[in-house]
Amino acid sequence: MSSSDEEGAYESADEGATLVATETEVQIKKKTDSAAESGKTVGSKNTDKGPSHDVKQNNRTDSESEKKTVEEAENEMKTVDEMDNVNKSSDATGKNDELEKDEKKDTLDMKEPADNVITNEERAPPLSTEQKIHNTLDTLADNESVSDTCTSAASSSWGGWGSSWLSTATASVSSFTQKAGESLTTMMENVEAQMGVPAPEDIIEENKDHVQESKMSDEQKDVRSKEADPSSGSSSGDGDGGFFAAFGVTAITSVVERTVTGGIEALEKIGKKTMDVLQESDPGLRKKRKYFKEVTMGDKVNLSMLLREAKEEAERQNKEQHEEEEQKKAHFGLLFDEYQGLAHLEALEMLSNQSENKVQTVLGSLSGDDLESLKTELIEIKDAFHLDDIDENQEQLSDEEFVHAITEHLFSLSIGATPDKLKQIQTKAHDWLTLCTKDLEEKQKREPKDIHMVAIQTLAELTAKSIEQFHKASELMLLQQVKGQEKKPIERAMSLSKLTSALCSEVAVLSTKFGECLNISAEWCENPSTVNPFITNVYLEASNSASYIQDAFQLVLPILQIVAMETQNAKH
Amino acid sequence: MAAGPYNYSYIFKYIIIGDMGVGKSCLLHQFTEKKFMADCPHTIGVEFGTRIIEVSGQKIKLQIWDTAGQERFRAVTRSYYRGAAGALMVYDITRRSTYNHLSSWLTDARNLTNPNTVIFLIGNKSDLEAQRDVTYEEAKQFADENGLMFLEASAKTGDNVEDAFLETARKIYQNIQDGSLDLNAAESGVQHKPSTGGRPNPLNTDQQPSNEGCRC
Repeated sequence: MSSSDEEGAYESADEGATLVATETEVQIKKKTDSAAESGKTVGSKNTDKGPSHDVKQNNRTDSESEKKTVEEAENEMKTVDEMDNVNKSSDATGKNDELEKDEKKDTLDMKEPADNVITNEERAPPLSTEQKIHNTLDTLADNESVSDTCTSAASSSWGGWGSSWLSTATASVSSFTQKAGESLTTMMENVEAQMGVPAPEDIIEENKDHVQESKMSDEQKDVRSKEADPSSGSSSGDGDGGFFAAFGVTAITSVVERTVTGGIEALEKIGKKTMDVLQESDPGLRKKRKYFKEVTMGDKVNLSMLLREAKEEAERQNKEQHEEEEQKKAHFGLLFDEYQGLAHLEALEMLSNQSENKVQTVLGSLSGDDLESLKTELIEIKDAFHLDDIDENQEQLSDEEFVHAITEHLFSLSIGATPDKLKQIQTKAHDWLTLCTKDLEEKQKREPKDIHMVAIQTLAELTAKSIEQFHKASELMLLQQVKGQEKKPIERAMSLSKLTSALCSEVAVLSTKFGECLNISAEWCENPSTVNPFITNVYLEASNSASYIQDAFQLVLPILQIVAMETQNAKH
Repeated sequence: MAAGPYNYSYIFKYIIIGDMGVGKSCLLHQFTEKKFMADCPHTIGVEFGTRIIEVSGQKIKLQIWDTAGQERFRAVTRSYYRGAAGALMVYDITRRSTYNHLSSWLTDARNLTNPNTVIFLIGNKSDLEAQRDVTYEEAKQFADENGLMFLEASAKTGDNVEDAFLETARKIYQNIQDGSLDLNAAESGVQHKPSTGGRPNPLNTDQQPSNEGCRC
């Protein structure tokens, strides 16, 4: 028997094994599906217990009971070995079983050439064996687990091994020894790769020597084992040990140990693979569990419930959307942007930055008296831009006083700007406040939410228009003025400063009035504490508003400075 | 505010330029209000208009700067080109002088904006066909030579007005998508997700619309 032939045979056997293994996986999938359909709890059983031990146990007893005679046991052996080859997915176990089979084959068909034996076995197994395979497959399929299949097959093979060997052990000893030697060679060749046995040829030679030497003891062993054999399957297991012990080669013992370990590992691998297949696209088997749970619980979800949930969801979304819109209506920043306050502020800032750069450039190019006189003027303007602390010496202007003040200050800029927009906002706000106060005095209910909304809208619009006013004033001041008509920059700075104070004061007046309205409205409110956040917010945004206005005012400084420089240049 | 008050993901800055009286403010008004403003006053410096549009499923806020066309404002309006993502350059098809000045406006637009700014040429008053002074072919050739997008439109009838604004936005959006427009660049003219991002200028970062807290 050439080793290359053997390898070829093993390869084909392994291929077959892989093929059938995949088929078995498919079968399992199908089984799981059908189980799911039938609504049985098979799936959960599989998941919970994993490879079930009781099934394995059954198989073992089945196979053992079949081994009533030695002949039967031999047949069973073949079947089981076929199954082994077929079901092993790991090379180690597959090859090992092949080895065992080889050895048994050898002992069975002692007088035939070994090559023939293998070819016969591989290509044309007896019909009865095939049938048995099918039977076994069916049984295994019923048990629905690859791991189970393998476990049962493996256990049977280990159990049946000894008996088959023992049944033929009485045949020609020399022939056996020769075959055993060959088997050992095969075994060593096969295990060397995975088991890492060093220098296989040497070991084989050694083994052969050992085999020759231990012929006699073998014979004795055979007799003893034969006596023990028919009693039970468990004793056949002892036979294995006895056989190996007879050789007295520790290397083989370790190989056997490793083989067993490898086999267990392979089983574990198959078990894991099964779980992987079951859990594919279903992590934690949640879907399957849920499905079984639902099936057992009966119809859980009904249409009316779904519709009710959908309706609630829609209502909730509507409410959220409505609230969002409400919030937007009373959002200072958003409204300020909507009234183009931000855009004007950005444009004003662009002008301011450019002017600032120009001022620095001009200052850098000047020297001597020119620089000194220019510096004096620029510092004067800068001083005019210093605002007194508005909050402290705040003279509360009446409605008329405010309109009068802003008109006067804007005209004193003499740039052709009119306070129409500012006046309009202010008038509108005060009219609304008068009406609101009257309503509240007459004990008519006003929603604090609405008062708050109007307050924020008014503040945002007033702020935006104030900044627009500063922006427009800056643009107009930057235009080339008709000579002789322009005002001194320092005077403009003073006017702008007063305008800023007037605007900030108006913001304070408005916020106070809106705050008072909110306070009164709280008295008619079911839950007065809900009004407090509104009042706080009005005062907060009023302070924001004042900051925006003062920031915009400060941005005008470099613009007035550059205008002052250009005026001075024009004079020279 | 939990959800954020903004319902758009980009802000594009547009600037409308061109001679006085070509109808810049009317185009803007038609676009934002869908109405024709018959007696439009002269624009002082710059005015603003906004509208939220949708491009490729993205909501975009157009912040449009409508500049004064008067020559005396030219120095001031030049300050506003910076950071524009789109420039609408308008002439009046019934007045050849407004067409002849285009090269001067184009020079400003090229010099004062970034290279990725989309420039769209609009021949306004296309409803006044009888008084036409500039042919479509002539203007189209000028646009092609200078790599501009071009349409004739009418602020009065609204014809092509939407298209001009939207085509510009699509082109800008395309530039963002293919990476030629860097959103992080200081003067891209595009702001992304205003609820999280910020205006590029340092002063305004303090004055975000979303800023509800006390700034003091």
